[in-house]
Amino acid sequence: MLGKLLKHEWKAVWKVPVLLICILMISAVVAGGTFALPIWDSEWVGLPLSGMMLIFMFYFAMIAVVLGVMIYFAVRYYKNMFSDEGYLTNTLPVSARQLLLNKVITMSVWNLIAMIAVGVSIFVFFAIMLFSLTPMDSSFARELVEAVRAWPEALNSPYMDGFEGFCLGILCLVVTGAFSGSMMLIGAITLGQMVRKHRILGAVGAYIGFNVIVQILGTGFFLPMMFKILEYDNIFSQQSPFPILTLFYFVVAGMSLLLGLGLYFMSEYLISHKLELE
Amino acid sequence: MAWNLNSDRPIYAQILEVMQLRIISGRYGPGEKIPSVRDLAAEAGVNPNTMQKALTELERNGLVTTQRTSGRMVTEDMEMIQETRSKLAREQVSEFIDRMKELGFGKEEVIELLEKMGGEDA
Amino acid sequence: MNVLVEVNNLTKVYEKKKMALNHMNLTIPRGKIIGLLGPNGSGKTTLIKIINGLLVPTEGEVLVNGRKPGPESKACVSYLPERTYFQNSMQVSELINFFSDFYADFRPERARQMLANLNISEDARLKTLSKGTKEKVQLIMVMSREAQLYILDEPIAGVDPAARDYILRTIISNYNENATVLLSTHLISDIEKVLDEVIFIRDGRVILQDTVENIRECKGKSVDAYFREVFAC
Repeated sequence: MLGKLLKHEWKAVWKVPVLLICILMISAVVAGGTFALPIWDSEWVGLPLSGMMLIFMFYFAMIAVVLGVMIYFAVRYYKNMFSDEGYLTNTLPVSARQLLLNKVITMSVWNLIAMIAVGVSIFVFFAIMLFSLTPMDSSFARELVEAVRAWPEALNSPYMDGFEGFCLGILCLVVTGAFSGSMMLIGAITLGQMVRKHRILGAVGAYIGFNVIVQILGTGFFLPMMFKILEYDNIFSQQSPFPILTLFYFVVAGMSLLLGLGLYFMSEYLISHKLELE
Repeated sequence: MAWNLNSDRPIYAQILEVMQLRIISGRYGPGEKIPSVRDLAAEAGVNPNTMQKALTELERNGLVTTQRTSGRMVTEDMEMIQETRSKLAREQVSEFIDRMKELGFGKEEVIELLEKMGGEDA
Repeated sequence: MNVLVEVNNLTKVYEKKKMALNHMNLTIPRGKIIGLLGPNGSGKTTLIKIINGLLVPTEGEVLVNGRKPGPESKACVSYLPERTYFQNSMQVSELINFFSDFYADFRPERARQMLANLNISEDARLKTLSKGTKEKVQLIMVMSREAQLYILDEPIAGVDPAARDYILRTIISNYNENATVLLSTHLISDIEKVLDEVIFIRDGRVILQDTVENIRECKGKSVDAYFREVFAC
């Protein structure tokens, strides 16, 4: 049944995020492309200004994709589970766990895709910018090829020790971040349902509350960690900075995972024991 | 012969009347299959169990027979249909006469009236 | 096992301390069309929501086929709520796929036939349909299941006589014969002819459960007239 839920959920949701990502990619290309245009030295201030506007647009598009996907899925979760649509969702012959897993998985995957899309769009933007700014002789391309060739060697230098682990750490952080980010929204909306007369207000309040708690806990943990990293003083040393960062990332990822799981079990309990559709 | 059922009298009896009328009038001809309980119930907007009861009653008095495979049919016994027809007619007439009596009409007066009105109609 | 639904000592208190159900006891047999009758606010919808697992009781329990509301009960209960519950961006054909995927007892060919009878295109998006049409689509979906229990919450409230006839005909010609249909309404005269039994509820309690025939015989009046007498204010 979870498979069927995922299938139908996927079919229902893919259009909006894909549209947002398309807009993001187009704006990355357009913003990067402005560097190829002879507008920056123009006498008239309007031209460089509009170039800057386009670059700002790209910046906003990045925010819009991440935020847009979050808001879209939050609204969908609310509508699908607790508004009129909830009358169908909650009378399907599936368990609360299956319903919730379906929502969390879809939301997390799309959050991840949105983050990856932002990364790709930044890459596209800088790539186009670089190619636009460098003179069109062959030296740039040659240098680029050389840099790529030198990469494996660079990995072997002591400064790059533990780079693979570091990448893995970042990956874990991104994945657990997508999960706990989704769970913060789902948990807040589900908890908001307990405020019968002001469900949306309750959800917003719960979301702000979660964020405050996470900030406090985070600061309590990050500050000493930051000092530890600074203490490490590796900027001029030949030692690799990666192991300590990796450790840091894994700890944060672990905390993020715990937070997500805690919110998950709270939400599952509320849906199976406290559901109260209007 | 539409289902003008009202809630003052037992639904079951009213259904029975409509079905008898439909058979007498030939809407369901002799030997013809009649619709299923569910279809008839849906058409009349009544409970299928009530419809079932009415059809069972029709079976009991012989107007309808059941074939194991092909559902319910109207009887092919024309005599029985005629008999039901005249029985219903007698009921109607006696009811009519009772009411005319209440209005103070005697037998001759009633017949006179009927003849006169029959002439008008023709 | 002839009992389909058992309601034991069921109580529901809402936040404002309003007692919607007050230690209600009730059994619902199989194979009957039953009217759940009571004035507005008597607890009909609360009871229905609890049977469907959309509300959690404060006290007591509901058993469908001997089990509390959950995936097993939902698989054999077909529920028509008062609200339309569709995702408006869906097409009618997608809705049919959705129901086929989740409800093993859903009969897509039956749904398609009924939609065709109403000239509703399967390509139509639900948001393009009128409110009345959407409600009919929803009824068609609910009645295209071979469920053990159909729960229809106020199916004829606020519709014109033609729509009412369509709804009643659709229910009668499609419900599974061994199943029970539970119809809640406050408009009794319209559906009286369809019912086997009635349950009168008031203030969250059952005040009468009897067959229509018995009421007519013992009280010598229609259920509608009797209802007006019982609930006269």
